[in-house]
Amino acid sequence: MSTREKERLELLQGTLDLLILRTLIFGPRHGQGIARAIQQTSKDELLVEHGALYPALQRLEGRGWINAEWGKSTTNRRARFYTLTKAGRKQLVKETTKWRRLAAAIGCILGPEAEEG
Amino acid sequence: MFRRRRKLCDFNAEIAAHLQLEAERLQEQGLPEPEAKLAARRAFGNPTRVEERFYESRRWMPYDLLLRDLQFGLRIIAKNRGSTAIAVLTLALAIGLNTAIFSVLNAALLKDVPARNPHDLVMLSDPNASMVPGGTLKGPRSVFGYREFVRIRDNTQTMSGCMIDDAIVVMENIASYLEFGFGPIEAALRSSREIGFTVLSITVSLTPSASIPMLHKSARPCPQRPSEPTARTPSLSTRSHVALSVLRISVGHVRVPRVHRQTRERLVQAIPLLPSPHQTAQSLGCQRFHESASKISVSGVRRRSKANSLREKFI
Repeated sequence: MSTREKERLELLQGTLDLLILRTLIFGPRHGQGIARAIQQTSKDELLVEHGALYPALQRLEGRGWINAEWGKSTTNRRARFYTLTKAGRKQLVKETTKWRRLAAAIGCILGPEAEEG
Repeated sequence: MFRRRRKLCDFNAEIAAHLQLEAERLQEQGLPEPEAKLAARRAFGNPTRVEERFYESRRWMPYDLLLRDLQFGLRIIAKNRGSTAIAVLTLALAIGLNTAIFSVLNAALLKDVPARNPHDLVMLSDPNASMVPGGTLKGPRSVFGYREFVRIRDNTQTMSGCMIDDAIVVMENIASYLEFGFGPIEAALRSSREIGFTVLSITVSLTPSASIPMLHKSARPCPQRPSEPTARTPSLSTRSHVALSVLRISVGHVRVPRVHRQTRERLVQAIPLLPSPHQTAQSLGCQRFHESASKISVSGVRRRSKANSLREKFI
């Protein structure tokens, strides 16, 4: 269990959808798997409340970007597995481009990294 | 967008599965079971809030809340029968009262006189006549008996119709019967028999409803004569009584001067031949005292008992 919880970055509004879609690109995952993947891939920097994941998953499913199905986990537990749909893949490309542009633009304004302080 | 409505229990099962998986993962990392479960819950946040968000995301919430308020209201109503009965009674009374008041106001203030062109209504009357024979109450009076009225009604070319006042007609009727040579009692009986039923039925059915619009209609367009409607409204209700009882008794003893019969005939014939109510009024020397209500008093026509010679002048 991490003791750095307070130092973690909170997610910007609207970025959780992007992260979920990106995580699902490697194949079907259940909710807990997605949460763990986000935490690990971000090197534990991001603070994602696991509970916030499920309404987001529900929303993405409603928009037809992901599909859901009950199945068995690797530990032989019942879990709901999510798969990226074609529309979801398109949306992921769109959102990724948008995010890269946004990050680049903000980076330009902020300039090169200043000395640590 | 939902292909099928997902049930809340399905969603809850998913959350339970998540907590289980997370706890197992933490146990694998070496945490004891109770602590692993707690940590999984802590990482998850507030499950109830998540459930709420799931619930709210699939509904139109104003409707949902309204439904719940209604349910609550019905429960309370079912619980407190007494206060419910009082509330229902109060509402029923209030609605009934409002409806009653509105229907009266609607008839009195909002709707117009029930005629096709209310502004063309004309009143033929004698402003110098008094309300009671030999009395002092002055006001515009009808000058025709029943048979003159019938004659005007059936022969008129200038007016589309003709209505007549009740009590005064009885009096005029009596006078006209006296002129035909009947005795006082016989004249009184005949004249009231002729229109007695009409007077009664009209009074019973119309007086209460007719009085209120009268108060308003005459008072507004003619402020210089405010006493007229006020005097008229109560008199309407007493008039039939006067017509059917007092006049029958008294007129027999009042000496009514005879009028030259031919003069009366000529007067009655002359009026329908005039081209318009306005011109009728003008040619008879009328004064128009109501600009908007268009009541026209034919002042030139005098009571036959007063001025026979004057009448000759106008015809």
